[in-house]
Amino acid sequence: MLAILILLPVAAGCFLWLARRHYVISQLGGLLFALLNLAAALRLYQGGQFSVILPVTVPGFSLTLRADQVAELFLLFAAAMVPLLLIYSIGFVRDKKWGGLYLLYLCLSIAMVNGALLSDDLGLLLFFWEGLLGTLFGMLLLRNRENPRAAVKALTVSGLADLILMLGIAASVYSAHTTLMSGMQQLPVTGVGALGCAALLMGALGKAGCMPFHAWIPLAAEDAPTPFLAAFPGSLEKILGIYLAARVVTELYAVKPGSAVSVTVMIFGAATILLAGAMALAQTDLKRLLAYSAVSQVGYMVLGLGSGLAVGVAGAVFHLFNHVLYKTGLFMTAGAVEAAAGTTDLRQLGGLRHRLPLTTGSVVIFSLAITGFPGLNGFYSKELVFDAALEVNVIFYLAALLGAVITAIYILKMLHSVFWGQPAAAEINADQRQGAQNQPAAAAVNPAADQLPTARQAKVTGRQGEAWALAIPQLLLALACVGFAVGESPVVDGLIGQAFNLQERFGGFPKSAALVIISCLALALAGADHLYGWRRETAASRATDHLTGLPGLRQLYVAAQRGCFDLYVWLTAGVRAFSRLCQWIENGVTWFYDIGVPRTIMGAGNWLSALDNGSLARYLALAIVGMLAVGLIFILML
Amino acid sequence: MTILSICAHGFIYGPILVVLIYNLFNHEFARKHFFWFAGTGAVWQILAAIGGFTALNQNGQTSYAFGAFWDIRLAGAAFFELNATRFLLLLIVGLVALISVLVAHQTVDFNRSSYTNLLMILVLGMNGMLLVTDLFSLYVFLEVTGLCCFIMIAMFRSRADLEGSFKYLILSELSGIFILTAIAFLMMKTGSLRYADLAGLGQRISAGSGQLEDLLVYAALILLISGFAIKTGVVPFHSWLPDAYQSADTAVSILLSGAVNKVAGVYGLMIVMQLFGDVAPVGPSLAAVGIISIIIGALLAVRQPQYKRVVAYSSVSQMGYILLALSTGTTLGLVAALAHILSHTAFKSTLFTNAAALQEQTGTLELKDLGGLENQMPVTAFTSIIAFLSTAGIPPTAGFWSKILIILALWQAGSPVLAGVALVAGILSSAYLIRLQRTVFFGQTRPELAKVREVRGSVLTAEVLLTVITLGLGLLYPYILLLLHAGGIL
Repeated sequence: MLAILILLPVAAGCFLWLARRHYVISQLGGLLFALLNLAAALRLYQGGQFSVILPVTVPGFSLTLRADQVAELFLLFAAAMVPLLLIYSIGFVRDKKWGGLYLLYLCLSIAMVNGALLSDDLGLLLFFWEGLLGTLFGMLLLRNRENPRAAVKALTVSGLADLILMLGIAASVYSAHTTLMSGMQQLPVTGVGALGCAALLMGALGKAGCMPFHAWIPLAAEDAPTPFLAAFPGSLEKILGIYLAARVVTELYAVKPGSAVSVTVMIFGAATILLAGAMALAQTDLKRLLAYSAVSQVGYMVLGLGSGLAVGVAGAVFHLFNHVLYKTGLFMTAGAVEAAAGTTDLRQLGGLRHRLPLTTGSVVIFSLAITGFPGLNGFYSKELVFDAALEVNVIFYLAALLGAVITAIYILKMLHSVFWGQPAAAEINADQRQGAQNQPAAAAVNPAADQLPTARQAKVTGRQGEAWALAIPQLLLALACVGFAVGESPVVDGLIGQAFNLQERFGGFPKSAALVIISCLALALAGADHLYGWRRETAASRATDHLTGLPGLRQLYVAAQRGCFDLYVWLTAGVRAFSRLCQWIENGVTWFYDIGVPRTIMGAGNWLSALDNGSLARYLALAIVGMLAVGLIFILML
Repeated sequence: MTILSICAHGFIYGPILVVLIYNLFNHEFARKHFFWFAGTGAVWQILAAIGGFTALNQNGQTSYAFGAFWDIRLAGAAFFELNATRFLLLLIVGLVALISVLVAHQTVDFNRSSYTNLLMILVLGMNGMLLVTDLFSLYVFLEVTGLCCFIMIAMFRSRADLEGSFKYLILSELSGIFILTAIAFLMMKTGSLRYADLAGLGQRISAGSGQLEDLLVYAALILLISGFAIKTGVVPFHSWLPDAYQSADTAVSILLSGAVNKVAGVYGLMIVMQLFGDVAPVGPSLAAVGIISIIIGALLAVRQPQYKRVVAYSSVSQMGYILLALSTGTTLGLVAALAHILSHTAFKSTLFTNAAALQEQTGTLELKDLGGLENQMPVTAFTSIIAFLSTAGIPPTAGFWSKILIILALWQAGSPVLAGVALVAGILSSAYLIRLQRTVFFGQTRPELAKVREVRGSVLTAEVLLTVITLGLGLLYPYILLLLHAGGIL
């Protein structure tokens, strides 16, 4: 049963790769697989917990798969996302040369996520974890084989996070004397344990995209196809990272609220919220904006998990679910916008609400959800995180609140400039250019083009209506957002609370009216700021310019431009310094052998040769000196 | 008369007989056919050494004492003695004599009669040194050896010959004075110069006794070591050696480096070590001289402008290794020293034979005039490379085994630092020999050397014979060591 969840996606990937030329077959096959996967996950969820030992022997590890409540919950959620991701991806990559391989990698990634969620053994977990890095690298490589800067950056940065994770695993295994997570219960956070806990958390949150391991995501937003963004930074990696972090905080280690590890993690979370939010403010590209937003939202989860409080964990996991729903939806929106308008530059977009009514509808819901508008799912999860932050320290609460304001400002700017406002003059030109150059891409975005094979017609169709394969997943996600908002209390208390064995109940409307009012005021402030900025600059896409021009922030952007916050830049600078050092040492060694030693030998040889000048008197004197030296040895030793 | 006694007496009478018969013939005939007489003498020496050793072994004896024509049981009679070590050195003497004759066949022209006579007397002198059992006889034969050498170096009548010979003469006389004085001092203390009486003398004296005789014994040891060190040619007693080797004819250089400085020098130090090894400073002074010699000899060899001078300084360096092995005073050290003497004889004689080949074919030994002879002289180049590998101590050559034995002996004797220095100094040996190989054999052939052909006849035979010995020993050494181990010697 457990192995099915890993083998099924592999088989589906092979199938989709083989059937890459037949759109309908692959769409149907993908749907079938996704439903099977969901059914298996559901069955597992109902079946309760059990474990299987794989019939493979690796010395030092017992390769065990285990389905317990936490794993099953995350697995179910991931399985629920799979149909949407697959349908959207199949629709998006249609007729693209790399489409088959893309779907194969996507299915393999799903297999890896399933495997990692089900692993009980940390070694096995690491195997799937690294497997996911491998498929991620492959997907980033697909479209940019000549200049794979995003792929290399992702591999470096995520690789570093994974190295830290390995260190954490080694330390944990050392202190627990077992490689099984089921054998690690509430390990003390002292000595090697503290190292293990911190490194595990860092590795897991690094996977989720917490600062400073986020560096590759904005770059991938420029280079990678949109479904990739929806699948990786949007959902799969977040699910996996937060899953492990939640495990570490609630189960493996006894993380006390206010302890050093907890505070450190929370600082990282708060910094992520603020810095990534500030970066998102300055973006003029839809995909980059969303990428930074995705990083920023991770900060809330990190803040919640780091608090070590029950309310924080519940809030973080619920926020993860909500985030996956709306951020995946937003990335899909970006894909739809790109498909329809041929660009994701905010300055060139505008007024798309007429052409993409369904997308516009869903994007409004996503935006309300992400800003935490009262009544929507994001509101509930954010309030829970606020509670947790306030309980630890008011500074964290203020940071989170400021983050919420920033989120609302850039979301408003995005919404306003893309879907309302006037299309810039350049947009039509860009559209035509796109139609001329990227005919296969334009045709690919529209399933209706099945019957309309010529490029011209495809373009016309693409402009007139929305692509169903791209729109339906968005609508479903928007519905899920609303559903989570309505059924908030069963989700929080029923699903999450049960899975993590939380004693208290956190569902229902927030009890503290003051906090809700402050949140609402924050949103209103954001709205007012947007209006002010819009009026001042007379263009929605520049509505944040008065903020980004502020003294403190401007330096921040300059610094960011120079890569001061970029782990990859740090790494490459470190590597460069190290290689320079090595070069220096190497040069020294080479000098020693090539010049130093020969010159010494030659010099000594010359000097000694000069002594042997052929004069007999000197020869005799040397012999006498030698005899005296032997005599000296005798005198000294007797 | 047993085979053993024939062989034993042959070492004394063989050379004398050859000289006597050779001089019966008229000068022209003798000059023409010197090769056969001298060759017979050398081959006889080799056969006698091998046959005698086999006979000794079959008898189950470890040593065999004999008088030349008198009864050794007479009171106070000096006598000769043979044992395994001496047989090995006698074999080396025979081998070097044979190689020298092979080379002389091509290089020596006008002085062939003198060469033959002197060679035989030189062999007699060295045999005598190896066979005697008292210090004074040793000194007598040492002087015989030295005298032959001066004449052999000088007999080619060039100015350089005379200069080299003169320096050797002066330094040798200094060494003779040292040794004779030492013998006198020892005589004052013991009244006898037999090895048997001198052995264990170190136990009977002490530095703190205040007696003049005791102090004179120590002075005698200093003088003995210095005297034999001059004969060995180790730093700082080495100055005569390059001049003498360079100026002598190559056939004579082979004799000097292959046999004379081993028998006259190293063997003397071996005797000193055997008799007085229990005196504390003897071993360390040998080690000090040895290690200085290894390093400075190699450093000097790097900068020499002439082929034979490089090889001569290489000899200085290699003698240092032998002294280092001797200085341990252990059986393993002795075996290592003998092994290196054998290896050194083979590879150093090869290098000198190569020198003879180069001199014959190109007419010069100045390194700046040589280059790229690899294709013209393939056999010479190949044998030279094998000799180089053996000098640097690279398997599977003889030099590898003897050097590793030396290092093991040093390690076992508790001087890891010396072992390390000896090991690292091996790199220096590679340095000067690589330079030699590169300038002489590799690289672009000089236009004026384009017509050079490979050497033929006896020199070629000598080169091949020595290379076979080097490689054969390299392959046989493990077996020999196993035999020694089985015999309980190691």
